[in-house]
Amino acid sequence: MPIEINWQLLMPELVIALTLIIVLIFDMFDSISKTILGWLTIVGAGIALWVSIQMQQAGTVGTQFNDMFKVDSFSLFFNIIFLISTILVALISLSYLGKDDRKQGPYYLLILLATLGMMLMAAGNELIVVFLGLELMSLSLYVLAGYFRDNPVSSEAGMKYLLLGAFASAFFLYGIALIYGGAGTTSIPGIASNLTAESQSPLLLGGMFLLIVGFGFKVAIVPFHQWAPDVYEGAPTTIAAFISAGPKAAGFAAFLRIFMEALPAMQSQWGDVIILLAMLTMTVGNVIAIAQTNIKRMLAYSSIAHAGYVLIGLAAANNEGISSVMLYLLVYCVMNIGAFGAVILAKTTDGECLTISDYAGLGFRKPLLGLFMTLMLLSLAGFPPTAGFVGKFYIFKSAVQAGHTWLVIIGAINTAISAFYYLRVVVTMYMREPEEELEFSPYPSTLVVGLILAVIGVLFIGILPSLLLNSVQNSVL
Amino acid sequence: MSLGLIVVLLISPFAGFLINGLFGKWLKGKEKLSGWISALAVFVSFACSIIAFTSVRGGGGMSGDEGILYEWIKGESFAFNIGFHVDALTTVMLLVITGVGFIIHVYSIGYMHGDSGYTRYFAYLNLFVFAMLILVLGNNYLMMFVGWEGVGLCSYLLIGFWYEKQSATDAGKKAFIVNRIGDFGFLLGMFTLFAAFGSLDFTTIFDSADAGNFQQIFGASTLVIATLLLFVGAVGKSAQIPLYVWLPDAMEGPTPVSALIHAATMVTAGVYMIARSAVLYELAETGEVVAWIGVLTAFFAATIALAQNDIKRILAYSTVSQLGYMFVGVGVGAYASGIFHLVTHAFFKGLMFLTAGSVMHAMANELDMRKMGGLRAKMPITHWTFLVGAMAIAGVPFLSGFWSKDEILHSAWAISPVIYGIGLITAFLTAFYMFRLIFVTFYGESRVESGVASHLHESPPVMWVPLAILAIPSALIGLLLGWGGHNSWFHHFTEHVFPKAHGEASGNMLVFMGISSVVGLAGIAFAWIRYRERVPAAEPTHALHKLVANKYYIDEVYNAVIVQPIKNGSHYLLWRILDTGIIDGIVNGVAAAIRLIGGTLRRLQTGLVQAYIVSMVVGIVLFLAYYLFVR
Repeated sequence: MPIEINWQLLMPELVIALTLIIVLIFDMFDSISKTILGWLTIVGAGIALWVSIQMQQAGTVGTQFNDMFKVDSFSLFFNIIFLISTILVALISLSYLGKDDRKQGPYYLLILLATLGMMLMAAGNELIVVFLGLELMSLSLYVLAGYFRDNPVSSEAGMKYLLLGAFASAFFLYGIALIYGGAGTTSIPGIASNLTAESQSPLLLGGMFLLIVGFGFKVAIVPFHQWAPDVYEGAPTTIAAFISAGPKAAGFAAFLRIFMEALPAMQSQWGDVIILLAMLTMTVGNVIAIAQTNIKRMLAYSSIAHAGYVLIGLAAANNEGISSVMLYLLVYCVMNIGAFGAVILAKTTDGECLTISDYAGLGFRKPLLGLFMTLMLLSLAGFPPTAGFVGKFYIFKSAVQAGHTWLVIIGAINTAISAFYYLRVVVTMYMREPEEELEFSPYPSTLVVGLILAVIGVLFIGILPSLLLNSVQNSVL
Repeated sequence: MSLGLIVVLLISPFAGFLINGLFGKWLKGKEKLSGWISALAVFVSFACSIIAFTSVRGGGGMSGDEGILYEWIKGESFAFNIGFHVDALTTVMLLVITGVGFIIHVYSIGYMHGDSGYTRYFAYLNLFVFAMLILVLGNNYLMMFVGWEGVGLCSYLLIGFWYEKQSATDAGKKAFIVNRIGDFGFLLGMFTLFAAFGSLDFTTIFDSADAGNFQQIFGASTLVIATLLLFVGAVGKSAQIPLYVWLPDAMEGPTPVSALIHAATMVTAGVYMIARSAVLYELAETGEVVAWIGVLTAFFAATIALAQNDIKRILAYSTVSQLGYMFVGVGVGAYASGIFHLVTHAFFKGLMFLTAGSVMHAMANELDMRKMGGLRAKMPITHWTFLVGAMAIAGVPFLSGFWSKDEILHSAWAISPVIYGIGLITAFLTAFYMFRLIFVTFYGESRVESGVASHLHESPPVMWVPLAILAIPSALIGLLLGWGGHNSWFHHFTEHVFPKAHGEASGNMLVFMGISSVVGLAGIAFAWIRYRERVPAAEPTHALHKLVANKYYIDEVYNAVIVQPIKNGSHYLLWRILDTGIIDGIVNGVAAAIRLIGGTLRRLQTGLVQAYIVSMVVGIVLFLAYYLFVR
């Protein structure tokens, strides 16, 4: 059966695929400076971003490949999140890897592959496609986490991530199999139409739980989170930023699509679990983050806690909830990459500043760095007028609307707890005297550009949320 | 008038702040450029303010929905907008802020010459103007609060500008903490209004309040409580009894800052707030409280100013006292008169602070007037401009202060003759202490130390030109805008903004003017008799003098009654017993417990992959168990 392919619908994915082929080809010539690969990635992702925005504005909708691949404003909005994350990560990577790293070809290649996987996840209209996207993304990330293979910590992170990730993927696949057994199909609209309130078999229920486990691992929900701190700490800092941003958003994109489109009839079953997971994830993430002395580990636990906030919006399970989750994920990606970028900026001649006490007095000695770090942390903590406040506000609002007032109260308490460890870094930077004089490397200009973009994003969404909000509210499923 | 104009007006100083703040390093060698950029930024705002002013004069303006720039956040039953309210009151404030602000920026270019924090200074100053513009432009209490906190922050940063000096950082902290008390009141007032009206927009609140259409959350006294809480905020920001103590100390900042923030603009924010909320104060009938606090502050601060020898401190107490007059004005319902005094005061007090700065500039930062004397010969422009300012504040007929102060006193008479009486005595004291300052500083024998005397010189043009420019409105603006008392141009211009004043026009205006003139001139004459050739004694001569010279020991009383108990309380009770004993005990106990549990839990986070997998499986089993057995 010949398949009619609508190439226009696939434009963003095609651009990324083309970019990664170009990167692959350029990487073969040793005479070309390797930094060009990073720039190619940025340009390619930039074009794909522009295309996605155009398509999103035009309201493009359509399916492809026998309904397995669905383009709608929802998937396009997530494309925008992924591509922004990719661009920012590539920007902060340029200086991090440096000119002399000969093997950075695979680095950008894998980043692009992972991005393609995320886009497949958001657009998958079929559990198998979602799984393929998930694996494409995850496999690339496993390698990236172990990118510094001479460094045992990095290798360990990659290996650990691979083993645990494979385990989680198995659960996920098993879940798909059970759902297929219960519903007779793996197509998302198909499941929804085969599934009525009466026809719920234990198979479906079991499949649903295993899907939650699979996603729970990918987006680091307690109790499936334990890989996150180890991997974030060991992986290259740029990759930690990458893993904490786009893939998490992709996991939630598929999570939303499957649970809101395929399994809405079972909301009474999964709703409670999500609420419970939200509370657990926020609380555990924030409480353990307090005890951290390593800033990368602290950010890892903070990103676990943020997954908990996102679950609040998911638990609301209304249009408001979906749009607030989408807004939050965009905001979260920008500010989290920004925070990791600031960590990279705090580079001494002996390596990165990773212990929080190393930041003492930095606010005055390195005002630009202090400003970046402070803004990102304030946004993560959710202070107005930053984007973090707007994001949290709408998440909480959707939950109140859905009647989950208690969940919001717990969320607010958690926000207060989180302010403690975020502000502690700010206090250390501005109010503590440094114990030893550290020699700082000069700022790399690409990194500063990346951070300025993140700052603009955080302040722009914080001060002028309405522009973005309208676009998000039109993109709900 | 378009929204675009207001946006440009608002953003321009912010752009100046960004340029000076972010590119300060590159501007380091070119301090003139840095200063002029920031002055230009304010000038752009000034130009926009003039356009806005002419538009309002022509019947234009902006209120309610038309002023909304965009919606910030929105909930089910409420929405917070970023929007502007532009009417006669706003444009008057805009002109004062940007006009006086621009002149002071120019003056600062000369005054701050050679300071190592030059670009930082101009960045803060621009940021201050931006915050102040938000405060007066906002069409809701939330934006007002944002500006309110913003100016507080800039004030703190600029008071402590020379942070190497212990006294400067202390003064900054004092201002910040005292303002915190007031701001807390303001915040509570805002909450009360929001709870009662479900909105913070001016138009919504004022319309509903007029119609009596709001939640009586505190019964009949809802508005009384709301307005009094807001007034607590004003008492803090505008340095009234009992929260005035921060303002005299705030003189540790650079002198142009004292002129701009601590005389002309920020400290008048409280007066502006009450004038803006006039509808509420009328309905709640709490104006009398405002007026009484105002008049007592005016009198009290004036007496302290009698016995000070530090030029800037005299001016600071004089500012507190004049702010008191403004509160009398808005308190007795003569809102236009209160705002009119705000305007004239901005000019003459700004002028006097700048001249004081000019004196400091020449005297190597000396502030004690006992070490001056006879400066008039060496600094003629400074002397003449100061004289104009002093005559304006003393109420010499036809100068600006005469008109505005007289209107306030006249209106006060209708409400309470006692307030009028105290106000009149204060007017006498004002004239006396101001001219005491003049005679001791500029007249008589020179007591300048020989090392300083050789450098004594008039300030450079970039400093004296602003003085000369400010002297003109200080002298004439009262006559131009205030001729005719309650029928003056200023009253007509602002008549649509305020509810009909209830305390006006009783008794013959000319009689009141006559009495005021005599009192003011008597104060000057008395100062002439006493200080023409005499120097204030080095030590206070008798008990009363000592009491006043030591500012009634209020700082000491606060220290003993509030600061020390809090300090001791927090040290012994909170820290030693509660914190170290109980809380630390609990915390340490919890910590020990957590360490104990953590010792166990840590095995889960060992980094062992098997352990992680086990914990995942346990998680799954627990969830399934919950689902199967608990639900």
